[in-house]
Amino acid sequence: MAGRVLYAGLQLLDRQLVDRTGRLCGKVDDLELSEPGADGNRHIAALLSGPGALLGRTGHRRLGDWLRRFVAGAFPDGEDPVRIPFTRVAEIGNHVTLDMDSEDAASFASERWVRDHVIGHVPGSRVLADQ
Amino acid sequence: MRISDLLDRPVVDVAGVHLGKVHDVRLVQDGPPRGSALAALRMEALVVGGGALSVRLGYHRHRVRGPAPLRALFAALERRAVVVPWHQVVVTDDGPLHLRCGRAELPGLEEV
Repeated sequence: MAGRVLYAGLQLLDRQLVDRTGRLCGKVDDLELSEPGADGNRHIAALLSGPGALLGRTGHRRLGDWLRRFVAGAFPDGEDPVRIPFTRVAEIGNHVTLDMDSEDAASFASERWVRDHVIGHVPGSRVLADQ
Repeated sequence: MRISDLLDRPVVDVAGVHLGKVHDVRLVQDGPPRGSALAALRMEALVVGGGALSVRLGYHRHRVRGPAPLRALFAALERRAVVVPWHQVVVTDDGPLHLRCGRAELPGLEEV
């Protein structure tokens, strides 16, 4: 049986990632391919998301590598690009739905740092965060 | 290897003829099921040549119905594009992608 045909550039790259609760969690910035199988075929192994992956794809690979090192050094649990195994993809349509929570899909290290060190100190923000 | 390692790479056939750049990658969802989610996406072919722009813009002729001038334009562009089966590609780290076959053996975009 012929499978569904997709064009990677048109139907996957730059698509919005949505977790299983409907929360937005980044874009598809690149695709990782598996090593060739016994039959020589390669499959999509993972979706890559993050500015480092996007910079690499748009021809700024050195800047992307620098950003990846910066994020890894600046944030204890920093990761760029975020790697989402294809096994966690639930649906591909106008957006890409993941079978996971956004907190697991992306490290959100920089967002967490801003929340804890900046937003958290704004009067009233703790109240809203606790609700 | 990433998709970005393939996109925009020049392609040269077995006779050394330059075919253009890789504009998109055609995937087929017929791989083994993985986990509880979708069947795996297999790399089937590269879309190569200037006419492949119609695919990147979403004007592949099987999808666009009008307006008529755009349909005619992109149908003409498609005739310049070729679809390169993945097994015909010799993968290298950089430089042009070399093919194991000639331009005449490759199907056009309108044939797939």
